[in-house]
Amino acid sequence: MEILRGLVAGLAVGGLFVAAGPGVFAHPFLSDYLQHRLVLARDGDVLEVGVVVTFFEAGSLQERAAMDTDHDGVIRHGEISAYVRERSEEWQNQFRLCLDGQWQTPLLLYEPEVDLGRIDRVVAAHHRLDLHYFVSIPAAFKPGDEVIIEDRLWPNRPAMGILQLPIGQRLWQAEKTTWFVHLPDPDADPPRLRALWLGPPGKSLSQK
Amino acid sequence: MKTTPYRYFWTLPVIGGMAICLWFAPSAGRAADPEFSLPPGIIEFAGRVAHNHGYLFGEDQRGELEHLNRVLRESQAGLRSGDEAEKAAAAKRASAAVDALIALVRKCPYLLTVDLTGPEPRVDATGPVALPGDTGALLLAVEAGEGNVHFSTGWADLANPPGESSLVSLPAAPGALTYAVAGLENVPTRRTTLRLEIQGAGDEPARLPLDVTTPRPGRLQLTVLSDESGEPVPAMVRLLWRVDGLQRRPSNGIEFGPQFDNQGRATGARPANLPAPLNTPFWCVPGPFDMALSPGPWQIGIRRGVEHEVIFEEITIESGRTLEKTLRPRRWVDMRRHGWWSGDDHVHCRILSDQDAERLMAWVQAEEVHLANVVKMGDIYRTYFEQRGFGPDYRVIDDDYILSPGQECPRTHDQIGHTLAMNITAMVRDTDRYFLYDTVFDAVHAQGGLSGYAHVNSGAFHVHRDMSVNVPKEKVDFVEILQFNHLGTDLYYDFLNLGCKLTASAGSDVPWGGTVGEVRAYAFLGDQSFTADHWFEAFAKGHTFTTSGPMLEFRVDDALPGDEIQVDSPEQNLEIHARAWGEPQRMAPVRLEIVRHGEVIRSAESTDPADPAVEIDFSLPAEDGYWIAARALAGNGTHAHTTPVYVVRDGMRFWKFNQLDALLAARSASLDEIEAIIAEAQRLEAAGRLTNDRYRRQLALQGDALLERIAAAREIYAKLESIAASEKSRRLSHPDKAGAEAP
Repeated sequence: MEILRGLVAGLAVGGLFVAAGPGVFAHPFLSDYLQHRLVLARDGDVLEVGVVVTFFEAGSLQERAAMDTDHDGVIRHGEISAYVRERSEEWQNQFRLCLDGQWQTPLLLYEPEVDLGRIDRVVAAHHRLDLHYFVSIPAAFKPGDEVIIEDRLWPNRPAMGILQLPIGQRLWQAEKTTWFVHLPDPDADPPRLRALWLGPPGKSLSQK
Repeated sequence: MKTTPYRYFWTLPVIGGMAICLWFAPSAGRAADPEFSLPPGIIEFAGRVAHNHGYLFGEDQRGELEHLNRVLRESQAGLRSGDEAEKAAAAKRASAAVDALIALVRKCPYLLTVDLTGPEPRVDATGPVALPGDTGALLLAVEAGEGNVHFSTGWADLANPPGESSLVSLPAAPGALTYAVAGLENVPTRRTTLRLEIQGAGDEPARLPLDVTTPRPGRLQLTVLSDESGEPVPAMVRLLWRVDGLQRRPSNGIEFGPQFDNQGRATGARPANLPAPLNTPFWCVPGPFDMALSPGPWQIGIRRGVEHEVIFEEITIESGRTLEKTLRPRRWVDMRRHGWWSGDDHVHCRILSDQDAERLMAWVQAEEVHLANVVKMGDIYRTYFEQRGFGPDYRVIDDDYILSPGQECPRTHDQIGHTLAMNITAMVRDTDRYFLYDTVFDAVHAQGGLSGYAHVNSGAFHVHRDMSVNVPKEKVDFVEILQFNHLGTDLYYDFLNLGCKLTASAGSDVPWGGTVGEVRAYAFLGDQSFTADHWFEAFAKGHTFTTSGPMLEFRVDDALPGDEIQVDSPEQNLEIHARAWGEPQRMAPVRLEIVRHGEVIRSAESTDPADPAVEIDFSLPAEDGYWIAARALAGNGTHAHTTPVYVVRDGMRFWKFNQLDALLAARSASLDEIEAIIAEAQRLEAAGRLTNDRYRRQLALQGDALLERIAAAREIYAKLESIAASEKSRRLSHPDKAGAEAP
C-alpha cells in the first residue's frame, strides 16, 4: 500500500512537470536555476563557509517532493530532518576547499537547515537550504595565500553563484565574486572561486 | 495497580548518579579503545544546542558549546581515518569533548529528567517549564536503563494543524540514558500543556503531559523617520529575536504574495541580493507599528534604499512594558541633489486596485526608488502581473515616487531572449508574431516608449541571438547589465565594440529578485523637475548609470554618459573626470576603473577606510574614436557602471577596430543559431510533432519572417565590414593596445 501511495504521489509530482508543458513556470530562468551564495569568514584558526542554496520553482518542487516522504503533500519537521540527515554527507562531499595548496573536504558545523518560506506544501515555491561548513586553517597559511572554493552542489542544475567576502576591514580579495552555469556539463570542471587572504589589518602582503 | 506520579521519585538521583558514574569512570579506557565510537546522536545534538538553543546554557557557555561542537565533528572525521594514530588521537579528543558536553548538560538549570524505569513515565518538573518566548526548547535526560549514553533531537511546531499542535515527539534509546533536546516553535502565550511522547525506549511510546509557560510579552512601538523631513516614512524593517536567531514579521509588514500571482518568492519577507546582512529578510512597513514581542534581546534592522545607511540596533523588550523606538536612518548621499534620480526597470507586481498600488508604493518609498517600471509579464501562453492600464493615466504618483506600467514581453526562453519596455501606452503583444521582436520594438517606439533586453548581464535565454538581429538595426534602447548584484558586461561590451549604442540599465526582477531597487538605474535630470516624462527623456538619451551600491560621476569634457562627442582631429585631447564613492560604513574601499573598448585604461582605489571615495582626472586623445565608461567595485562586493560616452571622429564608428573580425564572427554565429533552431522547429512541425509545444510551433510558423530579418542583419554586418575596409586607411595605429592597463 505504501509503495502504491508513493508511486501515485511520484506520478502526480512528475505530472506537474509533464502535463503542464513548457509554460508551467512563468520564469523558467529562475525556476530552473539554483542560487548559490557562499559566505566566507575566518574565526581564529577556523575558516567557516556558509552556503545558502536558494531553490526556485522547479528545483524547489523537486526537493519538496523528495522531503515529503509520506506523500501527503505537506512537509513536516520530521520529514525535513530525515531529508537533511540522508543527504548531509553527499552535500559535504560536493564541496571542497583548497588552503595552502591542499584540498580538504570541510565538515558540517551544524545540521543543514531548510527554510520553506512559510509554505510547507509540495508546490512550486521557493525555499532555502543553509549549509554551514568549517575547516581548520593550516598553520602555514599566510597573508597572501589563496583559498579556492569548489562548489559541486547540484551539478546537474543551472546555477548562479555569489561569493561574499567579509565587509569592513579588507581581509579578503577576490577577482570574481559571481558566476553562472547555464548548461550544466557533468564532465566540465566545477565552479571554483578564489579568494586571497590579505591578513589581519595592519599587515601588508610584503610582510609575508 | 495505580501508581502515583511521584512514587519512584527517589530513584531519580540514584539512577542519574549511576549513569554519570558509568560514563565518567571508564573515560580513559574508552579513549584507548581502538573501537571507540561517539555516542549515537551526539553530533546533531551538539550542533543543535550550539546553534539553535544556546539560551539554555547562558551566554557565557555559548563559546564552549561551539568549541565542543567543532571538536566532536572533527573527531568524528578522525575516527573514520585509516591512520591508527590519527584515530587514537581523535578518540581521545572525542572522549574529552563528550565528557565536557555531558557535564555542561548536567549543569544546565533547564535539564529535566524523564524516568522511564518505573511502571509509569515520570518527569521531575515541579511546575511548568519556563520558555523564553514563543520559541524555546526542552532539554531532557531520558532514563530508560543503564546502557551507554545516547543523544537525540526533535522539533515541534505548535502552530501545526489541530491534533498535532501540542505533540512533542522525541526518540530515546531502550535501556539507556538519552539526552534529548526538542525545539519548540509558535508556542502560545502563557500556559500550554504539551503531550510529550518518548519513542523507542520501550515497546510502546511513553506519553506524559508537560506544561510550559511563556512570559508575558512586551511591546515595541517603532517609528522610522525621514532623514530630511523628520516625518514617519515607509521603511524596510527586520526584527530578529536574539534568543532564537529568527526574524519576525512586523505587525504591519506588507504581504505581497497575492500581488505576485504566487510567482517567484511570493512573500513579503525580502532578502536582498546584496552582501550580508542585507541578504536576510526585511519586511516593508508602510508606517509606524505597535506589536507584542517576546521579552529579551532583539535586533532591529532598518533599511531605506542604497542612499541611506543601514541601521542595526540592539534593544531589550521587557515583559509587560512598551518600548517606544524612533529611528532615523542617515542619508549618506542624496543623488537628487546631483541631478540623478533612481529607477528600477524590472518590477513585477500586480496593480488592479488602489490598495495594490498603495502597497507597492510603500515598497518603492521604503527602498527609495523614484521610478519603478512595473512590468506586466507575458509568455507565449498567457500574461502575469496584470495592470489596470498603461500610459500616463495609469501612472501612480505620490510626491516624487512614480509607478509606471510597462511590459516584459515577448519572452522566449529556449530561443531568443526576454525583452522589456517602458513608458508604453498599451501592451504590445501578438503571439502570431511573437518571435518578431522588431515589431514590438517598433510599436513601443511608436508609442513613445523605450525598448530593451532583460538579463543581458547573465546572457540568459540566448538573448545574444535576438540582440544580433535587432541591436545593429538600432531597434533597442537599453539593456540590463546589473541584476542580482551581478554586473555582467560581456555581451554589452561586444555590441558597444561593434559601434552600437546601448544604454546601461538595471532591474531587480522581483519577485524573483530580492527587493525593489537592490540594483537600480540612475537617470540624470539635472535641474529639471522630477517627472516620469523627464526621467524617460533622460534615460532615452542614455544619461544613466547602474548600481547596487557605489555611486558614480563620469564626464568626458562636458559630455554625460550616453552623449556623443564629435572630434575632428585624433590629437584632440579630451578631459576625463570620474568619481566613485560609497557608504562609509559598508563600502570601503571603492575601486574606480575607466574602461575604453572594454579594457581598463585607468584605475584608482580609495585609501581612507572612513571615506571610500576616489577620483580620476586625466587627458586622453580622441584618436580614432571609442566608447569610454566608468565602473566601480565597492569593498562589500557591490558594483556600478555608467553608460559610455561615445567619442566619434570624423564620422567613423567608435568601434573596437582591431577586433572586428572576432566580433562579427560572434554575431554571425548567433544568427546561425537562430537559423538552426528555426530549421529544427520547421522540421518537427512538418512531421506534426509540435502540437503541444506552442513556442516551437510558433517559431516554425514565424520562421520564414524571422529568417528575412536575419538576412537583413547579415547585410548590416556585411556593410560594417565594408565600412571597416573604407575606414582602414584613415585610422591611426589602433589605440586599444596603447596605454591599456594590464587586466
